[in-house]
Amino acid sequence: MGIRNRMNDSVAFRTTIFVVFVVGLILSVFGLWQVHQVRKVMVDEVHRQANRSMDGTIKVIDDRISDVETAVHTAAAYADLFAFDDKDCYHLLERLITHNEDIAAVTLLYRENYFPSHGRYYAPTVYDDPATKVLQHDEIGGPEHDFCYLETDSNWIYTNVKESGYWCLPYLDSMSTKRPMVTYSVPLKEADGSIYAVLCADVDLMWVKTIIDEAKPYPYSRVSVISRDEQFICHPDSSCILSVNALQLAREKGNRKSVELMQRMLRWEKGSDTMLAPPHVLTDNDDMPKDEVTGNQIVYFAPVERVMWSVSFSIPEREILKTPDQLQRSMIYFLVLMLVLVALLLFFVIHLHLRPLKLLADSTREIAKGNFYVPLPVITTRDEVRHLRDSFEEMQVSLSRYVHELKTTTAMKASMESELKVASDIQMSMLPKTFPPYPERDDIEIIGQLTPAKAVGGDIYDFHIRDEKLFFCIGDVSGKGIPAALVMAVTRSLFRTISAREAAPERVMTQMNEALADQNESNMFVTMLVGVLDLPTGRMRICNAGHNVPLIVSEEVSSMTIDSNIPLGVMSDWRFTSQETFVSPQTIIFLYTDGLTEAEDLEHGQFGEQRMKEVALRMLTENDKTPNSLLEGMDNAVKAFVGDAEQSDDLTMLAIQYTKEHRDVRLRRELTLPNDVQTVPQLAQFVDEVCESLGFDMSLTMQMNLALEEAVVNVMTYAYPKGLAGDVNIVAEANDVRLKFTIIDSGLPFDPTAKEEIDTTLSVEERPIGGLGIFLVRELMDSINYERIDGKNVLTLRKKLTAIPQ
Amino acid sequence: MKTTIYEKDGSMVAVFEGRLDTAAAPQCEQDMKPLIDCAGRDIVLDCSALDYISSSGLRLFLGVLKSAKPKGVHVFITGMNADLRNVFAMTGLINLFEFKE
Repeated sequence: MGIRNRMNDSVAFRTTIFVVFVVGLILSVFGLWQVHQVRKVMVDEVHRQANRSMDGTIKVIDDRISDVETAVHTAAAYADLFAFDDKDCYHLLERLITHNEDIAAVTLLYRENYFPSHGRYYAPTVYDDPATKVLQHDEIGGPEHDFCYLETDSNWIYTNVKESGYWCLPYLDSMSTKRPMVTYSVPLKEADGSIYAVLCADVDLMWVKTIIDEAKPYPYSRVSVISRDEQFICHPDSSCILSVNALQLAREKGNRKSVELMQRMLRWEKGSDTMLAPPHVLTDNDDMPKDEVTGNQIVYFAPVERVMWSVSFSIPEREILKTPDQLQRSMIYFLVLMLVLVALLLFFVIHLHLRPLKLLADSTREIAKGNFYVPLPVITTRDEVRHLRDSFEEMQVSLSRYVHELKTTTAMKASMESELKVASDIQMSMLPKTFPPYPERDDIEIIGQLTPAKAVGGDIYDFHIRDEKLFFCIGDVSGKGIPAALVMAVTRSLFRTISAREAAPERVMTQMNEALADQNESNMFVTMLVGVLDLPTGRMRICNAGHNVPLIVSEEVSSMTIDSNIPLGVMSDWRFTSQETFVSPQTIIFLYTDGLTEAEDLEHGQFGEQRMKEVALRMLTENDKTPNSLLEGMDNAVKAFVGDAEQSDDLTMLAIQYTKEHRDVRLRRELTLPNDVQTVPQLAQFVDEVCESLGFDMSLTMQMNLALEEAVVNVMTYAYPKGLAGDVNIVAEANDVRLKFTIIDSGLPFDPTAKEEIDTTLSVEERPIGGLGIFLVRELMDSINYERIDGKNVLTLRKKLTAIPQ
Repeated sequence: MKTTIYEKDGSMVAVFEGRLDTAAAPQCEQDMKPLIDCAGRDIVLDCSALDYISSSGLRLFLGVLKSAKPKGVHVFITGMNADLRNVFAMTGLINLFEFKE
């Protein structure tokens, strides 16, 4: 199978087959035409020969019959010299038979009662005895001889032979030889013109067969002669002679064509026709080889008008076509031989010429395997193959160059992709991703989720707690991909940096805007929402920069009413405004980017705010109000809505639940000090008492002391500038969970938490003398929180109670 | 709060007793003046009787160290209790001073 396929696929094979086919076709057509022509010429030639032969035969027969006629007429002319005597008449008869070899017997038939001495009939006859070759005399007149009764009434002789000679119908010799005979009769007349006798010459017709046999053009030709009474004078089957009616035979044994032929012959026409087995020349029991006369026979026929005979002979068509058939056969042998030779030669030559191509193909396969430097076959000719080889060499060179370039490019691309992956990882690592983020806290639960549309996205969310304030933000950078991700990273850093020292969201936003709008050449902008939730009080301030309004899920689902402002980075010097609201416990603040509401399904329908609210409402009715279930429900709803559609935009959600619970205050002490650092010992005493009643040990008591001293001294120093008097009120409260110190003053607005932290790793020379105070407070307390409430600075310090005090 | 300064084995020794808080700091700063002015002698800050120190006190200690360092004077702290030492650790000052038992 494989080899056969290879053969079929080879150009040499296909071309050879094609050429052999075409050449074979042309030669066959030409050969057939040639054979046809030869055949035609042959048939024409045979036809001409046959006609000529037929004409000759007819002439020979006619001549010999004419000779008989002439002899009989001549004898008749001088018959009166002998005929009047019953003995002398034999001389006449002897002379006639002697001088004509075709005449077998001669009879003089006298009129009835011509010689009364001889009775009614007197018919002296002379015949050539075939046995002895001696002339015999006989008298055949009288009833004992058939002769007188040949034609029912002997009168016929006188009636038929009245004018001149008459050829009777052929008959069989009455003698033992039973040869076909025919008789020519001539009347002998007296001076008054009356007929006194008839001179009859019997002609043996055996020579007719001899003549025709000699004249027949082919050895396998069949011959026959038919008389005017439709009897055979001559036939290949001698038993048919003068015993079978030719027309009847044709009707019985032949086909329609042979009947027609017979009818034409009996109309004494001349011609030829072709047919299968005409019965008048072919019989079942002739003595010739049958296989030579099968098939079509061409029958030639012509009349001998003198005696009204029709001579015909047949030629087997096969015999005629033997030569052209032989020619055809030898031509076929020659053609086949030639085609085989041409095929072999052609195959060899093409194969020889294509050999370099095969070598070239082998080289190509090597190149395809990656071996670009494989040597190409050497081709010495200057033909197309050489041209191909040269082109191929050029291709090889450029291919190796190209592949080299491709490798470099691919490597670059791969490194870019891995960098992109790293970028994505970095971006994701910027986002808070440990949930719950504040497991130690019981007042806040947060969960966030960012699903980028591309590897790196432009969405952002972040949150952190500083000084008992939750700073959170959500934003969407215009555009997607790396540029958006870069801006996102910058935005996030800005948020972290600015919110580390600013507690008011509108100030955070304003500063971020200044930073982003400065030299914003790429015209990127960020829609953003920054909120600050004061955890002790539940007071929330939110500043919106063109972002989607958050959803508030309390007892019901509602959108917050806040100013839109403008997106960050669009315009500098914009004063952002913020709104304030109190968040009741258990309320969930749900923040999202437009990737949620504008999530598209396959028909480009959008998820929309309505569906989002429905998800929140369902959660409410199912009484499962947690940030986790809200986010999960939202995520499932969006996924179900979007189906198989590709995510078109980054999708970010942030859910914050305020879970502060009210606790009973177990201990409350209060102390009011004047604005004087010399009162610090009183503060120490106050703290000692508080710590003692809470069962704190020495070490913890010292820490509380230190923290309170630093905080209060800070307030005394900075809230009240030099020379300004005022009070500082200190309240200590403790419940089951924590101890809280609230330091309240009526001085200038002063947020100690906004002070920058000190670097504890600096050397002696670099280390500033001051700034340690607030740092120590942060270190020693769990949280520090500043609020400006009703024109007063309110600073809150908290310390978690590790063990339940007695 | 009581601050005593004396010489011992060629070193300046300052002994602190009681609470070094913001209220006591100004007086203590006055008492520590000799430490700032001295030259060529190592300084030993004896804290074995010190109960408490706030950032004001830390500032004084740092001031001594800052003036001593250019003069090649070593400042040692001795006898400091664990709680105070913890404060030093928190603020990173523990890396700047040399502690002695």
